[in-house]
This record gives sequence, structure tokens and C-alpha cells, in this order.
Amino acid sequence: MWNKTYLGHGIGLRTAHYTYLLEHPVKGVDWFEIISENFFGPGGRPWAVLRKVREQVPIVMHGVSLGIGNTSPLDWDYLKQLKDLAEKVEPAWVSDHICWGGYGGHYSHDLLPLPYTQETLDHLVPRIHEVQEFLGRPMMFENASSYVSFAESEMSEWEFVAELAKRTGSGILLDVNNVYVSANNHNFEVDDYINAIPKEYVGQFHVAGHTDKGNYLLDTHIGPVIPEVWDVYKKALARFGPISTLVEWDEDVPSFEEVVAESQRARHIEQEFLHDTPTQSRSHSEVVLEEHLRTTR
Amino acid sequence: MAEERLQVYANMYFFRIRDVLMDFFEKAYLAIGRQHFNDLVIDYLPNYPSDNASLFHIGGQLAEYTKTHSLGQTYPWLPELLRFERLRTNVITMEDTPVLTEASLKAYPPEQWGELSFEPIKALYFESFAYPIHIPWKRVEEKDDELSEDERPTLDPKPTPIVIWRMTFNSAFYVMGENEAKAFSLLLEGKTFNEICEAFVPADMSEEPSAEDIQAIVQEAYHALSRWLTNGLLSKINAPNA
Repeated sequence: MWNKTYLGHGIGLRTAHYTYLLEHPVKGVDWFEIISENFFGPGGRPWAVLRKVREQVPIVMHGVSLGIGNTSPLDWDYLKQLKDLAEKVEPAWVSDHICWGGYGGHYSHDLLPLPYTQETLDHLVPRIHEVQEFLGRPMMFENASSYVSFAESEMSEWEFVAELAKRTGSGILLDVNNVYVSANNHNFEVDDYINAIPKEYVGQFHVAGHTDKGNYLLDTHIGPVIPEVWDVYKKALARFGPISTLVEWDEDVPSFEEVVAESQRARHIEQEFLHDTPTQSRSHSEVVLEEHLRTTR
Repeated sequence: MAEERLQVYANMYFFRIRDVLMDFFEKAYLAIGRQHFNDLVIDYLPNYPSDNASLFHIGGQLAEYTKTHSLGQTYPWLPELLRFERLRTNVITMEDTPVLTEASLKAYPPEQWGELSFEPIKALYFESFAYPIHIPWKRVEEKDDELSEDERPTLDPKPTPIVIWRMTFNSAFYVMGENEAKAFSLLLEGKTFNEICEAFVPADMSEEPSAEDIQAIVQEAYHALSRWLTNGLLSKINAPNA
């Protein structure tokens, strides 16, 4: 079972906010998520900012280039850098995506979709075990948005995500915006997805903005989160309880305060939800959340 | 519809990398214009697809590639401007090292200075460029927009020594004069201050220079050293008996 440490509400540590964060203490943010690959360099401003915020709040590491679904062998140079970074940062957890992203030593810098088959699971499971063993910690894997699907797929995306977690012990970083985007792009029901994900594996939520391109939705991490995605977030809260939540905003990034305000929306939605929902059996994360709210108020 | 969806991935691959390259090579992009830069990336990417997990390394061969590209023929200074901007980007994340100030030098008695040698900070390049590429760089900086065709400079080749380094958190540079460049090369070789002074000896100086001549040379060398310290280029002083 995934260790569901509840960190509260975080945002991404982005270069647009470096100057602000070097000059101001962190306020309104419980934790930051860094893009792991952006900190593979040894020094300079990225590390100065990271060191400063790390003294104040927890950090989680989120990668985009592990390529767990690649058919090439694991990239051990990359993994050594990732492990080295994790040892320096001591993150609450390390995550990446359920996708492939390169071939033959070349990188697409994109999160490319996988066919949801037993063969793909059989390919990913030993790779995830190997990575987790090397890093000395379990990882979380995020559902990516997709724009195409494979005729070869033998199961739904949610069945694939669930099975992967069960067989590897890895956590699920549930991106509720990606569920919404892919549901629209592939005509499935958000509820079917959310309700099929095993509760015990979900350790983090992502919420974000996207762009409506007419014939499809594009996961752009731009602008505020739309009401329909907040509705999916509420559905996720209803099923999984309070989970560490990150607002992603990566295009046309506004001021630090504006991104924090969007994160506060997630916090308020979560708090309203907790008050309005009858207490069922309290999960560990709910206990941690209440303790968190008690100590931060 | 399927084609449109596949195109999403094709477009994202190109535009993501092109946009990163436009950030890394901002002045070159503005100097030659968006359309030319776009064309350059279209030609570059199939030849040099990304081979590193981090996008930071994308464009590592762009300067070299541009030498053989038609745009490199049209604007012969372009490969050197690209190389310059790549180095400016590199210093942003290079290793942190302590930065000396003039006070660090003044902690030593002046009679010892002649035997001192110095080490630069790690986040520093000292390179000779084949063209005075600071000219198009500054032209773009001043306009803060794309240069029109008429505004793109025609440059004659001229060896141009430039020091590029990270000052606090930002990339900085300046063009060195001939003597200062010689002196800084000697510093990088680990020579002592006495030896660095030789870079400022005039070519026509008599074999037996006067005390005033020597004093002028030392003053010039000290001004250069002082400038390097003030700009934060140096990280360590080595004293002979330390």
C-alpha cells in the first residue's frame, strides 16, 4: 500500500517565480513539486531557489523523461542523476508518468501513449520494480492525457493504471485534469475511471487548466482550472478522501500569488467537501489532514 | 480525425523544442527573425534529435550545425552568436564556487602580491569568437524585438575575446581588450601576478625599462585584476607558502 502522507496543497516550482521566491518567504503553499530534470545541473539559481524553499516546506520530485514505457533499456545515466537528486533533496516522494517518451537514446520530451495490453504490463512491471529498487523507494506514476488510443488495447486506461499499481506497489498520481481531457478525447465516463482506481494507491492529485481545440482537448496547463475539472476533483475527493493536491500552471505562468490563489481554491473545495460529507471510516490521510489543519490555523 | 490527433504529437514535439531553443538562443532568433529561426530548427532537429533527458541540453550542436546551413552562409556571424548564447545559458546552472572580492586580495600584504596566483569561478568561459558577435547581440538587446533585414549587421571576421560568467544568478559577459585577454589567459594557466603583468609590457618597450615604465605596467595589471575581482570572476587566491 502506498504511503499516503498528506502534505496539503502545493504548486510547481517554476522559473517564473524564482526571483519572487528568493526575495520572499513561502506563504500559502504547503509544498512544492519540482520537475526533476530541471535540477540535474549542479548549481546556480535553480539550486539557490530550491535550497531556500526546501528549508521551509517539503518538496516532491516529478519527472518527465524516465520513459518507463520505452522499449529501449532503462537509461542508467538518467537514473543515477535522479537518484543523486533524490538523495540531495530528500523529497516526500518521486513520480513520473505512465507513458513512453523516447527510442534509441533519443527523447521526444513528450508523454506518448501506450497500448493497454498484458504485454505492455509485462514490459512495464519489471522495469518499475528495477527503478524502484535502484532508487530505494517506491515511485508514483501519473496517468497522462492522450489524443489517440491503440486498437490493440485489451483493457481500459483505468484498468491498466490500477493493475500496474497492484503489480508494482507503486503509487498513483491521479491527474484529474488528464482524466477529464482523456474522457472527452476518447468518449469515456469520468466516473468509470475514478471509481475503478483503487483507493489505497492514490498518493497525489494534479489539477490543471487545458485548452479546448474544438475537436479535442489539449492538456496545456494553461489558465485557471475550469469548473468541470473542479467537479472531477470533487468526485476524486469523494472517493479517495483528502489527498496532497498540486495545481499545475505551466503556460503563460502568472504571478506567484495568482498561482497560489488557484491552489487555495483547491484547498477551499477540499475543506468544504470535508465539512459537508458525513464522516465515514477515517483514513490515515484524513487524520493527517485534520492534524495539519489544526496546526496551521 | 485520426490524422489530426496524431498531428497533436508531431506538433508538440516540434513546437516544444523550438520554443525552448528560442529561449536559449533569444538574441540569435531575434537577430535573424522568427521565420529564419523556425526554418533553422526544422532543418536541425532531424539531424540532431534530442539525446538527453533534460531539455536543457537541446541545441548543443546548433552552432556547429549552422556553419553548414544556408543561414550560416548568409550570416557568417550566426554560428558564433549561437555558440555565445549557448555558453551564456550553460553558466546559469554550472557549479557554485566561492566568489572573491577586492578585500580578499587586500588581505595579503602588497609585497606578496607578485607571487600570488588565482583561480576563476567554475561558472565561467573565456573564449575567442571569430566575429564581434556582441554587436548583433547588443543591437537586439537595444531594440528588444526582431531585427529587420536592414538592421542585421554585416560583420567582418575579427578575433573577439569574451569572458562569460554567472554573476549572482544571471549570465554576464564583456569583451576584453587585447592586453587584458592575454593577461586573463595567463591567469587561467595558473601564472603568478608577476607573470600576468608581462601581458601589459608594451611591444616597443626598451630592454631596460625605467621604474616609471614598470610602475605603469603594474598599475595596468592591477586595474585588470581589480576588474576581475569586482566582477566576481575569481574564486581562489593561491599564495606560495599558504
